[in-house]
Amino acid sequence: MVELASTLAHGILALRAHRERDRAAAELRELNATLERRVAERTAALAASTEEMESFTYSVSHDLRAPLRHIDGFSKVLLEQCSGQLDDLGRHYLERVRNGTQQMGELVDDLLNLSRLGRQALQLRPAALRPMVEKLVDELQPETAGRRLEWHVGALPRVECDPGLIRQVLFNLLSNAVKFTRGRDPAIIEVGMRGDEILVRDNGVGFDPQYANKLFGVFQRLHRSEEFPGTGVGLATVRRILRKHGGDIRVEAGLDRGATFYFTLGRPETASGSPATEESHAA
Amino acid sequence: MLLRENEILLVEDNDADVELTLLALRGENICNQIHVVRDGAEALDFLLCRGEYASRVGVPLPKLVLLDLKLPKVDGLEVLRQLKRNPQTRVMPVVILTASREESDLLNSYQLGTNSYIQKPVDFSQFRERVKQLGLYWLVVNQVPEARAVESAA
Repeated sequence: MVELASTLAHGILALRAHRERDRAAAELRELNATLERRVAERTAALAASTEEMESFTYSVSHDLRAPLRHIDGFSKVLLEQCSGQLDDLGRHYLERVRNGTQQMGELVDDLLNLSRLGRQALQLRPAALRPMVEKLVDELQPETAGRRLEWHVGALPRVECDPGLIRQVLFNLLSNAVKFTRGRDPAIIEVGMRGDEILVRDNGVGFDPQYANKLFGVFQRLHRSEEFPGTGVGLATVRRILRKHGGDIRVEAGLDRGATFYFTLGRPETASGSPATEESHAA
Repeated sequence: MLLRENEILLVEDNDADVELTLLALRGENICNQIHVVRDGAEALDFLLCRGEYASRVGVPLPKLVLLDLKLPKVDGLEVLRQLKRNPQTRVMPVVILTASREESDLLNSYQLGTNSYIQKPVDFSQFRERVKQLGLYWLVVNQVPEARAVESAA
């Protein structure tokens, strides 16, 4: 009798526990579903806003080009055809106008490229990086005429990537290295591997490392444009391309002690990959 | 037959762009006859001798059409489509001269049969250089079948 009661009590307890477990499981399932729905909603919202921003950037920069072309054109014609009627000060102001439009033209072009990057799917192919670097070194030759510059290009991997975009990454890093070693004799630019990372090192002017995190933002510049010309979009573009590939970039530098950029290519973002990781760093 | 040796038709709605393009073309002395129309519908009327241009029936076609893409009324791609579909205007060279860098505009223009696609650079010196090159190429270097006229309003 006692045994029976005990078995029964056990049974009831087990039943309760079972029911509770079922309820907990159901709650968990519901919670999961809600969570998944929310993630899907947020992802969709993010993707939509990314797309909206890309197309906004595109149309703004596209439409900005027309008036800019007009200012550039007419100020040029004014300078050519009417400069006799202007005194030195007048011509100086006109030059200022022209420099302004030229700079804005470059900014708009860079922004257009950056926005195009966000909208483009990666065209993946295996590509050998060393020949790519060697070709770029050749192309940069005219900019280094009259300077003593040593290139040290080490072993570089063959990687699955979008070669057009990675070429742009390398071009931006190498041309930066050329630009910021101006005045060094000799200038030394090194390209190679360290562990999994590819590095581009120069012995140029470098920068204060406390600003390192600012370097990859759009329109961020650490030097006055009179010293080193540029739009401040190049490294933002570099980081964006690398992150799109699933990689990243970091920098080590010291003021007047050169800069070393380390980057990885990682696994390329697939079509289903979340654009969220990309977006949080956009302009 | 009246030969419009070096006539260009410029299809452009923006005043400033018209003036700059004329400055570039005239500055190089490449072309003495430039006709300007301000939207896509007028371009089609001019080239197909319709509406206010009905009297152009029998007048030779321009040697080159410079066509913008963003145009009022009928856009540049539609103008291109109609010109390349019409046997009377198909052989006339049409060059797209646009601010657009959209890949889709480039692709669509070539699919519709454009003869060339030139993007207007912001820098006027570059623009002038491009216009000079395209003028020289299409009006002097390039050979086209003898100047023809649209025989009847299309």
